[in-house]
Amino acid sequence: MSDDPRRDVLDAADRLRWDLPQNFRDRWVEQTYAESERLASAYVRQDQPSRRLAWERRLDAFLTNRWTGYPTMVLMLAVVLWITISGANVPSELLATLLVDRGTALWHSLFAALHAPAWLSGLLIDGIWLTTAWVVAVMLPPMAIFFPLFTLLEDFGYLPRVAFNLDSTFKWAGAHGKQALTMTMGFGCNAAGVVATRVIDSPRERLIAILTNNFSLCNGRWPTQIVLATIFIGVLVPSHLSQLVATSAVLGIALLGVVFMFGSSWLLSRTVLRGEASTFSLELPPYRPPRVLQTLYTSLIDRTLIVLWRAIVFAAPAGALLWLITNIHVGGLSIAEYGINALQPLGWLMGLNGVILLAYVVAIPANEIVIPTIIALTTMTTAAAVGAPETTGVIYEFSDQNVLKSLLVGAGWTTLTAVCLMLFSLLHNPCSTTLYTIYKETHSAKWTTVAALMPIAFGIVVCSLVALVWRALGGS
Amino acid sequence: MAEREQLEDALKLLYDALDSGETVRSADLPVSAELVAAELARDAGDGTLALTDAGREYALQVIRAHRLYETYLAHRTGHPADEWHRQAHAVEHTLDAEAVEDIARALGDPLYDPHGDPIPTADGQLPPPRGCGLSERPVGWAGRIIHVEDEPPELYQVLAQAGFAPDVRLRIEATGTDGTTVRVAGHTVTLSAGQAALVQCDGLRPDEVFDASVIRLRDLREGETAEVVSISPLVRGLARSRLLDLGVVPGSVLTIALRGPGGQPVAYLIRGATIALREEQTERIMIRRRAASEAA
Amino acid sequence: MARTTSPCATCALSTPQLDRLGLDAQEVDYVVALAGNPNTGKSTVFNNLTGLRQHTGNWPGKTIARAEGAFAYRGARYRIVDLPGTYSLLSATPDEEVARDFILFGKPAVTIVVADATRLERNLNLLLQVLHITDRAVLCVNFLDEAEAHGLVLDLGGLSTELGIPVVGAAARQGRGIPELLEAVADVAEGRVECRPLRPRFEIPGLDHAIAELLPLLDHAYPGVSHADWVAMRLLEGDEEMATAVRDGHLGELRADHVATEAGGHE
Repeated sequence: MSDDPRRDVLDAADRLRWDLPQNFRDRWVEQTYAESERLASAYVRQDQPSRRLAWERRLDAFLTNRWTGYPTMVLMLAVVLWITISGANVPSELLATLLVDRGTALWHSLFAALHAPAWLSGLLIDGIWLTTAWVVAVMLPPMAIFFPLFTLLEDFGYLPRVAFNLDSTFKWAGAHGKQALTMTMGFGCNAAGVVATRVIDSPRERLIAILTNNFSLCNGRWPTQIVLATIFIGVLVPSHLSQLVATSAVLGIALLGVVFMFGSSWLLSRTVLRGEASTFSLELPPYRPPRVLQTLYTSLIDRTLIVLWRAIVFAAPAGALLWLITNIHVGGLSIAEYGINALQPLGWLMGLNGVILLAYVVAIPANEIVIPTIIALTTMTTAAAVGAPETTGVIYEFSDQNVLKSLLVGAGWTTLTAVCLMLFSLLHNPCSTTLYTIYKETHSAKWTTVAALMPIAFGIVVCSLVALVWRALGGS
Repeated sequence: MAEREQLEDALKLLYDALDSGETVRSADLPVSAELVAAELARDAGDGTLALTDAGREYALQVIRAHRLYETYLAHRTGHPADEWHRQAHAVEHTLDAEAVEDIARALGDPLYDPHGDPIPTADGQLPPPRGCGLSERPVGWAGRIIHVEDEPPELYQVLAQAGFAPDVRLRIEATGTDGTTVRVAGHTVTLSAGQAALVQCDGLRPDEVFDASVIRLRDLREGETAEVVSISPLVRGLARSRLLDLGVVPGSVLTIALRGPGGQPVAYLIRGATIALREEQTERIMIRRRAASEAA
Repeated sequence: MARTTSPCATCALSTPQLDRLGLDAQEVDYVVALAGNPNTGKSTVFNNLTGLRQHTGNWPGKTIARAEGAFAYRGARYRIVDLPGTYSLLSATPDEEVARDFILFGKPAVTIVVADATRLERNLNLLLQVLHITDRAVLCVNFLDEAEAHGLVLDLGGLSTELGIPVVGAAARQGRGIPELLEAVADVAEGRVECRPLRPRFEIPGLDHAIAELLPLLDHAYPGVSHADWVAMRLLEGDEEMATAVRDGHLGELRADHVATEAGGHE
């Protein structure tokens, strides 16, 4: 016996361990299960054959069959996306009218009545309020529809079957089948997708799902894609085909995202994440009828509001920043103009311009405000303020796409700019909400940095290559 | 650091050689002068080298660090088996005594490394080697594996893939010019002479029998019922405890519930739940088929 | 094997004085832990007890961050903590660590284990592990409605007698069994029913000897430590977490007379 009783305990345990069988833990679990089996067989009796089992089996066979399972998955996804997109339109416009148009006007008249100084109302209303209101109007309706639909499928027990169906595909990339679900969730919101990776209980596969979720084109980026595809890509073909071509271009970008997700998963699992511990488990739970009303309520609280709250927290300072850099002048130029000039060479290399890159720096809080920020910065620099409001550094939307196009073309945009921006919108760092979520989930500055830098590296390389080839082929 | 590495490698080489009864001439070992100068080795008089007590102890500590680190890689990380040796070799020279003891504690002071080699204790004790080679056994002989040599890595990888690991039972089915055919880990494999030479075996314990009816879970067919016999020792750490927690324990009865659209993964009905497993798991789970009448 | 009389099979139901307090969990008389396998409707039980609307998911690890709620029953205030759904308490995953630590060191007045009636065997595995590290537990056998649809008949009274803890059948989605569950929880919390949990002996060669040798040393280092058998088995298994608890004195919180000032150590 030493004079340290704690040490004695540990030493004795180390010594005594050798007298136990090497598979001590196995036997422990085995005997616990054996006891459970004894208890269950003593107190549970199968009185009559199960009515439930038969149809559960049939449903399983249908949902996981090669010929019926895959089409069902595609159909489900299409229905969910269709309900989301078509259902979100009306409330989104309503919120935009209410918060962005009416709300801003109301605040302005209130501030004017109080004789508030111009810089204060500029910073608070045109900066913070407008940006935050914009994010809420664009983000809230689709998420309030998408997430409950997703949750209903989850509660019913369908999503584990999707993970089961797609597992062999994801396994090829070193990932878990459940990543199919977190990826799909990412089409709604990457931050929500990152939180959803909690269902993956293997450390390596969970990290892969977190680091690659950004390649799912999120709700905040779809509008950017659609606008650019419509005014720059669709017009390249005869008008009866333009809708089709524009839509294909957007879907092509989303698919490219899936390709990058698989490719980078494959790469990560074979390089930096090679040594992380890995295990696989996937339970297919019994089907249970979802309780619709409760699901609507809980998924609103659980997912939508939390994500929305974080977005607001990050959007408000960005609004302030945008207003400040466009309105503070040093030596005749605004801070924004210095930034644009500094980023111009890199922007040119990537087929973009300084305005776009600065917009991405400012709009790191939310992808929703990228296009409005680009418009705000462009009107400021070109002075060709076609129908633009008089104040600078204010985000707003053009209802007429022809006006938008003439503004952008006037600022030197070409088809190359649009193509590269569509690519860069897919391949750039996650928004700060998502980065913060990644940090919260991984507790690791290292993995958060990887999550930020990996896509942006892809973006710089891909855009630069496209620009290089484009220019070599004589495009402009 | 490079100097330390050279010295320690030479020391290990010398220890291994002397341990297997070979002699090493001073002229053949690159840093023999330095070893002697450090009083780790001495000239035995006839131009060959012998270890001093300090040298023997030092060598054992280097081996301890190497084998502990391999055990760590096996239990706590996802690195594949054919990388353990290389990584441990790179790390063994950088660990100080305290770091080695930390690893040992974290792993619960293991006795053997994942290849079945004994790990020297902190005070330099080393259990004597056991068993003898697989190729020396007659047809029909059954025993248990006590050691699988991890070098050369290409050959070791084939063995690990086939389920060879310490504590796994096997039986010699045939020997011939094309190699040794062995029933092991639920299937039958033929080893080349080179592969067979890497496997050390011992006889079965008195209470053990070799059960040739054991197959791998991956070989179970639809409609058949089976009982879990064991999980391969190659499944370690989190992966092992996950399987146990899910109810894959000896005695669990299972059947196939569903096959994935491409054949994988396969979902099994285990203790009332439907659990999907991947092929790399099902080829490591040993089962025995049950007759339909037993299934109830 | 410990046996006791069935505590709840015969008792008459009082009118449930269930008062939902939502998240206002400041001052409480009893802390209750809610454990269970994934997919057992654990969160539905939680919502039924607290009036909170927590999402129930078909996955393990859904509630990796603890959800907490409160309720009042028969004049006593309860704080209830929803632990992550886990298959076991033995593995080194964050989920299981949270659940294990809370039951062991948080010392809840009662631990409710929610089980799925249609997969009782699998769920009892977790219950037996829980009974290893706490003396006061209630088993809530949920999804009785589905068990009926599956043609299963359960003898909960017999199960309760053998397990030595109250066993309550429920169909939480329909609100069935919740009053009875509250009654059982209050009975155990207030000491009206004494649990004598079933703790089967492990037939592992050398284990009894090893535990017998370890216990006096453990008692010397940590006088009055509770659940010493479990602590000894974890140490013998080589569990790093338990060894650390012994080394840094954290295990001292396990003394039988220790009053937990703050329930649980995890965020």
